[in-house]
Amino acid sequence: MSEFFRRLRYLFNRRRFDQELANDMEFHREMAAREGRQNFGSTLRLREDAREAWGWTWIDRLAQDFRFAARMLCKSPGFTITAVLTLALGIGANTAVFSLVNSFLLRPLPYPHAERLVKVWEQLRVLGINRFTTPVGDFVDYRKDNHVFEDMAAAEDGHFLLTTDQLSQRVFALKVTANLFEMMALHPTLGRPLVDTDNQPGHEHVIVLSDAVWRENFGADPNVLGKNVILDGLIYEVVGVMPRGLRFSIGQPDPPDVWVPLSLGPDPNRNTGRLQIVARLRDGVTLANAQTQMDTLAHRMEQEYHIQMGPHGEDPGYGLWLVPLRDELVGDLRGSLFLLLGAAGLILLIACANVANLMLAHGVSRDREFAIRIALGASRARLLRLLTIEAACLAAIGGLVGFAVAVALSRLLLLWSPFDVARLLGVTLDLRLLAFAFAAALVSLLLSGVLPALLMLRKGDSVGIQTRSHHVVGDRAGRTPRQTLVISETALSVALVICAGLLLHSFVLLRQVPLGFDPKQTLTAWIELPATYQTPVQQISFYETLLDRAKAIPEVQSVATTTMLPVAEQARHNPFSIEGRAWQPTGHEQVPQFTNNQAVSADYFRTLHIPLKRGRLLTAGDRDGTLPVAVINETLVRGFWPNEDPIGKHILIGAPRPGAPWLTIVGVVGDVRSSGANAAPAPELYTPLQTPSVSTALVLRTRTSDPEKLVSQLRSAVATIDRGVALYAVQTYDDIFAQTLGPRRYEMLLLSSFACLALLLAAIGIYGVISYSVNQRSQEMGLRMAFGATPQDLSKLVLRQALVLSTVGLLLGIALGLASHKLLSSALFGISFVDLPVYVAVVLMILALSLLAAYLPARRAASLDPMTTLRAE
Amino acid sequence: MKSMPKNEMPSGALVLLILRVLRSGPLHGYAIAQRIHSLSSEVLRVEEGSLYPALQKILLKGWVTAEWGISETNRKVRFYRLTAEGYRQLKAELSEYDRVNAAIQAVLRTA
Repeated sequence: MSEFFRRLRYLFNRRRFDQELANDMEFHREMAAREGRQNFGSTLRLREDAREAWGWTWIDRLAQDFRFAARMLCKSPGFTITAVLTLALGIGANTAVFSLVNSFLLRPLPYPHAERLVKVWEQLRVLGINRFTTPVGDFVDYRKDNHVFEDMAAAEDGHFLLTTDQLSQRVFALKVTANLFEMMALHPTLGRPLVDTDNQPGHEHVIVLSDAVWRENFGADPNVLGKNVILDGLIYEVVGVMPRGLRFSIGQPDPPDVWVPLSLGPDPNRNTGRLQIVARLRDGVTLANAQTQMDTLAHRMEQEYHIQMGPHGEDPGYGLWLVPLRDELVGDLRGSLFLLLGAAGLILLIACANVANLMLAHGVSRDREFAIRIALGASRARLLRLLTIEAACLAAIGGLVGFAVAVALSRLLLLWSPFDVARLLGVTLDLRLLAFAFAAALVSLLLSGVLPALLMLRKGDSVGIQTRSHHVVGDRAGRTPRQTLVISETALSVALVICAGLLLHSFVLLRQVPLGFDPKQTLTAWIELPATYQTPVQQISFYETLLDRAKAIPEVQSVATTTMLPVAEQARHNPFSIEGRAWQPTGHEQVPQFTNNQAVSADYFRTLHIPLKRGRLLTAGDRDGTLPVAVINETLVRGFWPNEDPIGKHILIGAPRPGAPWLTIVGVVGDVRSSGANAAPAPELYTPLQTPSVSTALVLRTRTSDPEKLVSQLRSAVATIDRGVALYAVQTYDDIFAQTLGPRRYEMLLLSSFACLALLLAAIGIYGVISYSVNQRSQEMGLRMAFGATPQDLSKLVLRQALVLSTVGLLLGIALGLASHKLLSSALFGISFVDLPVYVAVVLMILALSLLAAYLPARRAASLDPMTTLRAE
Repeated sequence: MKSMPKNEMPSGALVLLILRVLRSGPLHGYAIAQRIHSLSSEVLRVEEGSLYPALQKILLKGWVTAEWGISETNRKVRFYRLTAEGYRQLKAELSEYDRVNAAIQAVLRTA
């Protein structure tokens, strides 16, 4: 131990110790000289030998090497800047993408013991329903009887009309069990969280506000506690205010505007409520273990309550499904993230190939320096060390720059990402990110520094003064690794461009799929009626007035209401019955016996341009009291009346039951892809606007290409009927597509920018090699000219070289692209194995790019003056 | 490259000798070399190239300390003094040397 401290003391007082040693040895020499003895050997060398005992000489040598490397790098700033920027690009792209992976997949969610949080869903396996909300009764039993969870909390989301003294607005509310606050570590900044007694019947009229609601409705009044608000007609007392910028989600896109207690009292009907359950596993209980135990419990529950819950009394395959909360929130992002990470990895490889190439070219021009060093006794190991240190300097600076860029970029990547969960996760710098950047820098050091250094030194004796200076035809031996590098980086970028091209083409194809309705020039909005509209007659009369007023707006061609906007929402999946037939999961052609049913006003089909195929459309005369009718789509006909006329047949949502009349089919309309372009049309069943309707959307067909400008007129039309009615989510179909296609577009844009980067790097690589070879071969070119070659011949020579390189790279890249088709398949749409347009475009692009990259060197070759080049050495 | 001068001894032995000559009191580097030279009846010559590395090693081990003093030629120079730890080391090395030496002698006598 003390030896270690002496060593350290020496390190920190090196200068003094060295002087003392020098003094001792000088004195020694003086004395020896006095006695007439001659001393040989360098004092410096002897002193260095003596110093070695302290074990610190490596630091001096390293510092020396670093100083030297810095000098060398400063001497060729062009090389240094190019190499640093290229590496920064590679490392930055990787670190940025990794920061997404880190946020989405690695870093714990912002909840205590987040790794033990799971979402608990009921399943009805036979009906193909995996995420079914839980009724209150089931939740209470599961919470009471399970032995695997520390705690279970439930939440039910909904939209309500919040009325305060100031204004009335539609809010997103979460009805929760009070323990959710403790479980997710939610602490109000003002007042108290909800507590268990709030869940008791009679005590549930308390409310916790979000910071935003508090500011908007109460002007951030610190005395808000104890004040009353009205939520859907009921009075609630404010007991707390949540912090600003609260990050919270258990599956909802945004944190709620208000929190109210869920009523957990003894309810005559245990099947009310549609709760989402989040639970924390007990410490030491594995997910599989918990699943098994909950299966047993679910089986018991099934026997007691769910045995005949299917639409037609069949066993629905009731069960429970535990999903880790992260999987629930992050969902299917994993594939996209790995795709992007793979692409970024390719960028790093390409960047490394580029820098390695630079190193090789740079190294060849330093042949003489190396030869002299070797002649002076430097070992190859020492040269390798020197080159490695130079490369380490490059990688370190590149890594730092790349990391800084990545930090800035990752924030943007996350903010721009179309994934709601990004807002919950946020970005922070952590050690993992730093370690990743370091690893990326290390990889680039090995690939772009050490590897080329080994290649250079392996050339062995060809490094030397005598072999270099009289080469006229260029250095054939050194060319092979450089060309290999350029070919491989071209191949990698071709593969990347192909992938990006396939995604882009998929996106374009997806946008071109006919949806079955015309989304252009339309405007949509949702309507929330206040609780004062209690009777169906009131509601219907409101909608009819609204339709009239909306139609009166100039530039509105037609207008309709519906309970479901195609593409904008998740399609419904309700089983239906056909008179005189048993229910089956599917009909002909695997068409499921589930329908995306909706109630629409008479003009709905005309407004969205959905064509009538048979029979008649719904009319204003179809209303309560007349014959109940329905219009179905062609898919439903294909599945259940393939060879019959469906007009006049009888159909019904759910199972036949008293009080649910059969609907008579009066018409067939064209298919609509309600779930978006990449899902097959589902059976649709349209019924007349009827009651009670949950929430209703408005669709307007306008005569203008900019429907947004009608929004204010629409708002005032609503306000003239009733100020208390909320109009929300007003958007055009362009907005809706932007949202639904967001993830795909994001993936495509990121991959495309990576592909562009790759192309840029490959072009730089080709340019570097070609221009270097023109330099190397300038004497040969001069000679050719002297023998009668024209400038055109010479530039052709150069261009041909570039074309050969890029063609080989292209072929390899296309092979890689074909191979990666399978990896991509889940992200592709409507693309065959060999997507000709993409491949043709890529081939043309690469050839053009390589010619462009070779253009400058070719021009230089053509303008060579034979006399100067031949005299050059 | 370094070449081994004649009468150079292995560094382990040199350390032992340095410690031994310092037992009678602090000496400067040159005096250490001189003392070894004269005590060995001018057989062993300690060169700078091996003396100073050995001294650094001994300093590192903490067997001697260096202190400033004035030489016989009136020059400021460092004197090396045996520490308690150095004294213990000397004793240990001496007994080890005796043991090995006796063993070698035994082999030489009987073989």
